[in-house]
Amino acid sequence: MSQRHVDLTSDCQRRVAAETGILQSAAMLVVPAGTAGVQLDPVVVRLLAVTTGNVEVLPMRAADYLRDRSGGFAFEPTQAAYALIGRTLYLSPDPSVDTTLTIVYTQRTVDLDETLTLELTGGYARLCEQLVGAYALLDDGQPELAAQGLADYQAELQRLRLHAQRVGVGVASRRIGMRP
Amino acid sequence: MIVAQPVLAYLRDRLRESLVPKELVNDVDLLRMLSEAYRDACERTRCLQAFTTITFTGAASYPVPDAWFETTGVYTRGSTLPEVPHRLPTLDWPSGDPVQRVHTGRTISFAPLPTAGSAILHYAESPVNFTNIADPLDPRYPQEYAYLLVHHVRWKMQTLAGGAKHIQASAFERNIYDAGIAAMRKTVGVVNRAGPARITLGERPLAS
Repeated sequence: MSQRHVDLTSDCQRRVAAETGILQSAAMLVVPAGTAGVQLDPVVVRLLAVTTGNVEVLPMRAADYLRDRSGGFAFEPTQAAYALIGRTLYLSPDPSVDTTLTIVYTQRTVDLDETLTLELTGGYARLCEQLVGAYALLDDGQPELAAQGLADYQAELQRLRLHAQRVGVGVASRRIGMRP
Repeated sequence: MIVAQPVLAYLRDRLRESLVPKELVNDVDLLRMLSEAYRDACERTRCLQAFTTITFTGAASYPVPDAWFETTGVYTRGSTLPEVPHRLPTLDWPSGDPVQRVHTGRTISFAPLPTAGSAILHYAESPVNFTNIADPLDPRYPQEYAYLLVHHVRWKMQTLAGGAKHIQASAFERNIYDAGIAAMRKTVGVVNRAGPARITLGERPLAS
Protein backbone atom coordinates (compact mmCIF):
# COMPACT_ATOMS: atom_id res chain seq x y z
CA MET A 1 0.00 0.00 0.00
CA SER A 2 1.43 3.38 -1.01
CA GLN A 3 0.96 6.86 0.39
CA ARG A 4 -0.57 7.89 -2.92
CA HIS A 5 -3.17 5.15 -2.75
CA VAL A 6 -4.19 6.07 0.81
CA ASP A 7 -4.42 9.80 -0.01
CA LEU A 8 -6.35 9.27 -3.21
CA THR A 9 -8.85 6.86 -1.68
CA SER A 10 -9.37 9.11 1.33
CA ASP A 11 -10.05 12.12 -0.89
CA CYS A 12 -12.36 10.20 -3.22
CA GLN A 13 -14.35 8.76 -0.33
CA ARG A 14 -14.81 12.27 1.07
CA ARG A 15 -16.03 13.53 -2.31
CA VAL A 16 -18.44 10.63 -2.87
CA ALA A 17 -19.88 10.97 0.64
CA ALA A 18 -20.47 14.70 0.14
CA GLU A 19 -21.89 14.41 -3.37
CA THR A 20 -24.30 11.62 -2.51
CA GLY A 21 -25.06 12.80 1.05
CA ILE A 22 -25.42 9.18 2.03
CA LEU A 23 -23.74 9.43 5.44
CA GLN A 24 -26.10 11.18 7.81
CA SER A 25 -25.81 11.80 11.50
CA ALA A 26 -27.36 13.78 14.36
CA ALA A 27 -25.71 15.71 17.18
CA MET A 28 -26.54 18.10 20.00
CA LEU A 29 -25.31 21.67 19.80
CA VAL A 30 -25.54 24.11 22.70
CA VAL A 31 -25.95 27.80 21.96
CA PRO A 32 -25.08 29.70 25.15
CA ALA A 33 -27.45 32.44 26.32
CA GLY A 34 -26.76 35.78 24.69
CA THR A 35 -24.57 34.20 21.98
CA ALA A 36 -26.09 34.28 18.57
CA GLY A 37 -23.66 32.02 16.74
CA VAL A 38 -21.88 28.72 17.22
CA GLN A 39 -19.27 27.07 15.00
CA LEU A 40 -20.29 23.89 13.27
CA ASP A 41 -18.14 20.84 13.76
CA PRO A 42 -15.79 20.10 10.83
CA VAL A 43 -17.62 16.81 10.14
CA VAL A 44 -20.78 18.68 9.13
CA VAL A 45 -21.09 18.96 5.35
CA ARG A 46 -24.67 20.15 5.11
CA LEU A 47 -27.49 20.66 7.59
CA LEU A 48 -30.64 18.68 6.94
CA ALA A 49 -32.71 19.74 9.95
CA VAL A 50 -32.40 21.74 13.16
CA THR A 51 -34.76 21.27 16.08
CA THR A 52 -34.96 22.40 19.67
CA GLY A 53 -37.06 20.25 21.97
CA ASN A 54 -39.81 19.07 19.70
CA VAL A 55 -39.96 22.28 17.68
CA GLU A 56 -38.32 22.71 14.29
CA VAL A 57 -35.96 25.66 13.88
CA LEU A 58 -36.58 27.09 10.43
CA PRO A 59 -33.80 28.01 8.01
CA MET A 60 -33.54 31.64 6.91
CA ARG A 61 -31.30 33.45 4.41
CA ALA A 62 -28.16 35.15 5.67
CA ALA A 63 -29.42 38.45 4.21
CA ASP A 64 -32.65 38.22 6.21
CA TYR A 65 -30.79 37.35 9.38
CA LEU A 66 -28.38 40.28 9.02
CA ARG A 67 -31.18 42.69 8.12
CA ASP A 68 -33.00 41.62 11.26
CA ARG A 69 -29.79 41.94 13.28
CA SER A 70 -29.17 45.46 11.97
CA GLY A 71 -32.07 46.65 14.14
CA GLY A 72 -34.80 49.12 13.38
CA PHE A 73 -37.70 46.84 14.02
CA ALA A 74 -38.48 44.10 16.44
CA PHE A 75 -38.72 40.78 14.69
CA GLU A 76 -41.12 38.78 16.78
CA PRO A 77 -41.09 35.31 15.34
CA THR A 78 -43.49 32.68 16.51
CA GLN A 79 -40.76 30.14 15.88
CA ALA A 80 -36.96 30.32 16.19
CA ALA A 81 -34.97 30.49 12.95
CA TYR A 82 -31.35 29.95 11.99
CA ALA A 83 -29.00 31.20 9.32
CA LEU A 84 -25.61 29.94 8.21
CA ILE A 85 -22.81 32.39 7.46
CA GLY A 86 -19.57 30.62 6.67
CA ARG A 87 -19.37 27.76 9.18
CA THR A 88 -21.28 29.57 11.91
CA LEU A 89 -24.88 28.85 12.74
CA TYR A 90 -26.76 31.91 14.01
CA LEU A 91 -30.03 31.73 15.90
CA SER A 92 -32.68 34.39 15.59
CA PRO A 93 -33.70 35.83 17.94
CA ASP A 94 -30.59 35.60 20.18
CA PRO A 95 -31.37 32.99 22.82
CA SER A 96 -31.97 34.39 26.30
CA VAL A 97 -31.19 31.01 27.91
CA ASP A 98 -28.79 28.23 26.95
CA THR A 99 -30.45 26.51 24.00
CA THR A 100 -29.77 22.94 23.03
CA LEU A 101 -30.24 22.23 19.35
CA THR A 102 -30.40 18.86 17.66
CA ILE A 103 -28.87 19.04 14.22
CA VAL A 104 -29.23 16.40 11.53
CA TYR A 105 -26.54 16.64 8.89
CA THR A 106 -24.70 14.92 6.10
CA GLN A 107 -21.38 13.84 7.43
CA ARG A 108 -17.79 14.19 6.22
CA THR A 109 -15.72 11.02 6.25
CA VAL A 110 -12.57 10.77 8.34
CA ASP A 111 -9.11 10.40 6.79
CA LEU A 112 -8.14 6.84 5.97
CA ASP A 113 -5.10 4.85 6.95
CA GLU A 114 -3.43 2.01 5.08
CA THR A 115 -6.11 -0.47 6.07
CA LEU A 116 -8.41 1.46 3.69
CA THR A 117 -11.48 0.66 5.74
CA LEU A 118 -14.13 2.69 3.95
CA GLU A 119 -17.11 4.20 5.72
CA LEU A 120 -19.04 3.86 2.47
CA THR A 121 -20.45 0.51 1.55
CA GLY A 122 -22.07 -1.25 -1.41
CA GLY A 123 -22.63 0.84 -4.53
CA TYR A 124 -21.17 3.91 -2.81
CA ALA A 125 -17.89 2.12 -2.14
CA ARG A 126 -17.78 0.99 -5.77
CA LEU A 127 -18.41 4.58 -6.83
CA CYS A 128 -15.43 5.62 -4.73
CA GLU A 129 -13.32 2.95 -6.41
CA GLN A 130 -14.43 4.24 -9.82
CA LEU A 131 -13.38 7.78 -8.92
CA VAL A 132 -9.99 6.59 -7.64
CA GLY A 133 -9.47 4.86 -11.01
CA ALA A 134 -10.40 7.99 -12.96
CA TYR A 135 -8.05 10.18 -10.87
CA ALA A 136 -5.23 7.67 -11.28
CA LEU A 137 -5.66 7.73 -15.07
CA LEU A 138 -5.67 11.50 -15.05
CA ASP A 139 -2.52 11.66 -12.95
CA ASP A 140 -0.86 9.14 -15.25
CA GLY A 141 -1.41 11.47 -18.22
CA GLN A 142 -4.24 9.60 -19.92
CA PRO A 143 -6.93 12.30 -20.21
CA GLU A 144 -9.11 10.44 -22.74
CA LEU A 145 -9.48 7.40 -20.52
CA ALA A 146 -9.85 9.61 -17.45
CA ALA A 147 -12.63 11.58 -19.15
CA GLN A 148 -14.52 8.35 -19.75
CA GLY A 149 -13.94 7.33 -16.14
CA LEU A 150 -15.24 10.67 -14.84
CA ALA A 151 -18.29 10.50 -17.14
CA ASP A 152 -19.03 7.01 -15.82
CA TYR A 153 -18.63 8.35 -12.29
CA GLN A 154 -21.14 11.16 -12.95
CA ALA A 155 -23.66 8.74 -14.45
CA GLU A 156 -23.39 6.34 -11.52
CA LEU A 157 -23.55 9.24 -9.05
CA GLN A 158 -26.80 10.38 -10.65
CA ARG A 159 -28.21 6.86 -10.49
CA LEU A 160 -27.37 6.54 -6.79
CA ARG A 161 -28.87 9.95 -6.03
CA LEU A 162 -32.13 8.93 -7.71
CA HIS A 163 -32.08 5.69 -5.80
CA ALA A 164 -31.55 7.58 -2.54
CA GLN A 165 -34.44 9.87 -3.44
CA ARG A 166 -36.71 6.88 -4.01
CA VAL A 167 -35.88 5.27 -0.70
CA GLY A 168 -35.86 8.56 1.19
CA VAL A 169 -32.23 9.13 2.13
CA GLY A 170 -29.56 11.48 0.91
CA VAL A 171 -29.46 15.14 -0.05
CA ALA A 172 -31.78 14.68 -3.01
CA SER A 173 -34.65 13.39 -0.92
CA ARG A 174 -37.63 15.69 -0.69
CA ARG A 175 -40.90 14.18 0.28
CA ILE A 176 -44.29 15.76 0.34
CA GLY A 177 -46.48 14.63 3.23
CA MET A 178 -49.51 12.56 2.44
CA ARG A 179 -52.87 13.81 3.61
CA PRO A 180 -54.62 11.19 5.72
CA MET B 1 1.20 2.78 9.43
CA ILE B 2 0.53 5.00 6.45
CA VAL B 3 -2.13 7.65 7.11
CA ALA B 4 -3.62 10.25 4.78
CA GLN B 5 -1.45 13.35 4.47
CA PRO B 6 -2.62 16.94 5.05
CA VAL B 7 -4.54 18.15 2.03
CA LEU B 8 -1.85 20.39 0.50
CA ALA B 9 0.82 17.70 0.66
CA TYR B 10 -1.60 15.32 -1.06
CA LEU B 11 -2.36 17.85 -3.80
CA ARG B 12 1.35 18.53 -4.30
CA ASP B 13 2.03 14.82 -4.69
CA ARG B 14 -0.75 14.47 -7.24
CA LEU B 15 0.75 17.30 -9.24
CA ARG B 16 4.23 15.79 -8.99
CA GLU B 17 2.78 12.49 -10.15
CA SER B 18 1.52 14.01 -13.37
CA LEU B 19 3.27 16.84 -15.13
CA VAL B 20 5.12 19.02 -12.71
CA PRO B 21 8.72 17.75 -12.50
CA LYS B 22 10.83 18.97 -9.58
CA GLU B 23 13.60 20.09 -11.96
CA LEU B 24 11.29 22.68 -13.54
CA VAL B 25 9.05 23.72 -10.65
CA ASN B 26 10.26 23.67 -7.06
CA ASP B 27 8.03 23.27 -4.03
CA VAL B 28 7.91 27.02 -3.33
CA ASP B 29 6.60 27.73 -6.83
CA LEU B 30 4.15 24.89 -6.58
CA LEU B 31 2.81 26.26 -3.29
CA ARG B 32 2.41 29.65 -4.94
CA MET B 33 0.46 28.08 -7.81
CA LEU B 34 -1.75 26.23 -5.34
CA SER B 35 -2.33 29.54 -3.53
CA GLU B 36 -3.41 31.17 -6.79
CA ALA B 37 -5.77 28.30 -7.50
CA TYR B 38 -7.18 28.50 -3.98
CA ARG B 39 -7.73 32.25 -4.27
CA ASP B 40 -9.46 31.82 -7.63
CA ALA B 41 -11.76 29.09 -6.30
CA CYS B 42 -12.66 31.09 -3.17
CA GLU B 43 -13.32 34.28 -5.10
CA ARG B 44 -15.36 32.62 -7.83
CA THR B 45 -17.56 30.74 -5.37
CA ARG B 46 -17.64 33.45 -2.65
CA CYS B 47 -17.40 30.63 -0.15
CA LEU B 48 -15.55 32.64 2.53
CA GLN B 49 -18.55 34.56 3.86
CA ALA B 50 -18.20 36.99 6.76
CA PHE B 51 -19.77 40.12 8.20
CA THR B 52 -18.71 43.08 10.28
CA THR B 53 -20.36 46.11 11.85
CA ILE B 54 -19.53 49.64 10.68
CA THR B 55 -20.28 52.29 13.28
CA PHE B 56 -21.16 55.64 11.74
CA THR B 57 -19.00 58.47 13.05
CA GLY B 58 -19.74 61.09 10.43
CA ALA B 59 -16.64 60.13 8.41
CA ALA B 60 -16.82 60.49 4.63
CA SER B 61 -15.77 56.88 4.09
CA TYR B 62 -14.87 53.73 5.96
CA PRO B 63 -12.21 51.15 5.04
CA VAL B 64 -13.44 47.64 4.31
CA PRO B 65 -11.80 44.71 6.15
CA ASP B 66 -8.37 43.58 4.90
CA ALA B 67 -9.65 40.28 3.56
CA TRP B 68 -12.64 41.89 1.81
CA PHE B 69 -13.17 40.76 -1.77
CA GLU B 70 -16.77 41.60 -2.62
CA THR B 71 -19.77 43.02 -0.80
CA THR B 72 -22.80 40.77 -0.61
CA GLY B 73 -25.07 43.28 1.10
CA VAL B 74 -25.18 46.19 3.57
CA TYR B 75 -27.99 46.46 6.09
CA THR B 76 -29.05 49.09 8.56
CA ARG B 77 -32.14 49.47 10.71
CA GLY B 78 -33.86 46.58 9.00
CA SER B 79 -33.23 47.81 5.44
CA THR B 80 -30.91 46.76 2.65
CA LEU B 81 -28.86 49.73 1.47
CA PRO B 82 -28.84 50.02 -2.32
CA GLU B 83 -25.59 50.76 -4.15
CA VAL B 84 -25.43 54.01 -6.13
CA PRO B 85 -23.02 55.17 -8.85
CA HIS B 86 -19.71 56.65 -7.73
CA ARG B 87 -20.40 60.32 -8.36
CA LEU B 88 -23.63 60.57 -6.41
CA PRO B 89 -22.33 60.74 -2.81
CA THR B 90 -20.56 64.01 -3.62
CA LEU B 91 -23.82 65.70 -4.62
CA ASP B 92 -26.05 67.56 -2.23
CA TRP B 93 -28.67 65.21 -0.92
CA PRO B 94 -31.99 66.54 0.33
CA SER B 95 -32.33 65.69 3.97
CA GLY B 96 -34.78 62.88 4.48
CA ASP B 97 -33.51 60.89 1.50
CA PRO B 98 -32.85 57.23 2.25
CA VAL B 99 -29.25 56.26 2.98
CA GLN B 100 -27.40 54.61 0.09
CA ARG B 101 -23.91 53.20 -0.27
CA VAL B 102 -21.05 53.35 -2.72
CA HIS B 103 -17.75 51.50 -2.98
CA THR B 104 -14.64 53.32 -4.07
CA GLY B 105 -11.68 50.98 -4.14
CA ARG B 106 -11.39 49.47 -0.70
CA THR B 107 -13.58 52.02 1.04
CA ILE B 108 -17.32 52.28 1.48
CA SER B 109 -19.22 55.58 1.76
CA PHE B 110 -22.77 56.42 2.59
CA ALA B 111 -24.99 59.22 1.37
CA PRO B 112 -26.57 61.30 2.72
CA LEU B 113 -23.87 61.20 5.38
CA PRO B 114 -25.09 59.27 8.44
CA THR B 115 -23.70 60.60 11.72
CA ALA B 116 -25.02 58.02 14.13
CA GLY B 117 -26.02 54.37 14.16
CA SER B 118 -24.34 51.50 12.39
CA ALA B 119 -24.57 49.18 9.41
CA ILE B 120 -23.75 45.53 8.91
CA LEU B 121 -21.43 44.77 5.99
CA HIS B 122 -21.88 41.24 4.64
CA TYR B 123 -19.00 40.31 2.35
CA ALA B 124 -16.94 37.57 0.76
CA GLU B 125 -13.27 37.25 1.73
CA SER B 126 -10.15 36.40 -0.23
CA PRO B 127 -8.06 33.69 1.41
CA VAL B 128 -4.54 34.23 2.71
CA ASN B 129 -1.77 32.64 0.67
CA PHE B 130 -0.34 29.33 1.76
CA THR B 131 3.06 29.63 3.37
CA ASN B 132 3.64 26.02 4.28
CA ILE B 133 2.69 22.68 2.81
CA ALA B 134 1.11 21.77 6.16
CA ASP B 135 -1.31 24.74 6.03
CA PRO B 136 -4.95 23.70 6.28
CA LEU B 137 -7.73 25.00 4.05
CA ASP B 138 -10.08 27.54 5.56
CA PRO B 139 -12.90 25.59 7.29
CA ARG B 140 -15.40 27.53 5.17
CA TYR B 141 -13.89 26.01 2.01
CA PRO B 142 -15.56 22.60 1.56
CA GLN B 143 -12.73 20.07 1.67
CA GLU B 144 -14.52 17.88 -0.86
CA TYR B 145 -13.59 20.44 -3.49
CA ALA B 146 -9.86 20.48 -2.72
CA TYR B 147 -9.31 18.50 -5.93
CA LEU B 148 -10.21 21.62 -7.92
CA LEU B 149 -6.85 23.15 -7.05
CA VAL B 150 -5.04 20.34 -8.87
CA HIS B 151 -7.04 20.99 -12.03
CA HIS B 152 -6.43 24.73 -11.86
CA VAL B 153 -2.65 24.28 -11.56
CA ARG B 154 -2.59 21.71 -14.38
CA TRP B 155 -4.70 23.98 -16.57
CA LYS B 156 -2.23 26.83 -16.09
CA MET B 157 0.83 24.59 -16.50
CA GLN B 158 -0.46 23.01 -19.71
CA THR B 159 -1.28 26.43 -21.14
CA LEU B 160 2.23 27.65 -20.35
CA ALA B 161 3.78 24.56 -21.92
CA GLY B 162 2.08 25.39 -25.26
CA GLY B 163 1.72 23.13 -28.29
CA ALA B 164 -1.44 21.52 -29.61
CA LYS B 165 -1.34 18.53 -27.26
CA HIS B 166 -0.86 20.66 -24.15
CA ILE B 167 -3.47 23.23 -25.19
CA GLN B 168 -5.98 20.43 -25.67
CA ALA B 169 -5.10 18.99 -22.27
CA SER B 170 -5.38 22.43 -20.67
CA ALA B 171 -8.93 22.81 -22.06
CA PHE B 172 -9.80 19.44 -20.54
CA GLU B 173 -8.45 20.45 -17.13
CA ARG B 174 -10.22 23.78 -17.31
CA ASN B 175 -13.54 22.10 -18.07
CA ILE B 176 -13.22 19.93 -14.98
CA TYR B 177 -12.28 22.96 -12.90
CA ASP B 178 -15.19 25.08 -14.18
CA ALA B 179 -17.71 22.27 -13.63
CA GLY B 180 -16.39 21.82 -10.09
CA ILE B 181 -16.63 25.55 -9.37
CA ALA B 182 -20.25 25.58 -10.59
CA ALA B 183 -21.07 22.62 -8.33
CA MET B 184 -19.30 24.17 -5.34
CA ARG B 185 -21.04 27.50 -5.84
CA LYS B 186 -24.39 25.77 -5.36
CA THR B 187 -23.34 24.68 -1.88
CA VAL B 188 -22.54 28.20 -0.63
CA GLY B 189 -25.28 29.87 1.37
CA VAL B 190 -27.59 26.89 1.10
CA VAL B 191 -28.97 26.33 4.54
CA ASN B 192 -30.70 23.03 4.05
CA ARG B 193 -31.35 20.33 1.51
CA ALA B 194 -34.69 21.75 0.48
CA GLY B 195 -32.88 24.70 -1.12
CA PRO B 196 -34.19 28.17 -0.40
CA ALA B 197 -34.96 29.39 3.08
CA ARG B 198 -38.45 28.67 4.27
CA ILE B 199 -39.05 32.00 5.96
CA THR B 200 -38.16 35.41 4.64
CA LEU B 201 -38.54 38.77 6.27
CA GLY B 202 -40.17 41.70 4.56
CA GLU B 203 -38.09 44.77 3.66
CA ARG B 204 -38.59 47.76 5.92
CA PRO B 205 -39.13 50.90 3.81
CA LEU B 206 -35.90 52.87 3.45
CA ALA B 207 -35.71 55.89 5.67
CA SER B 208 -33.03 58.45 6.29
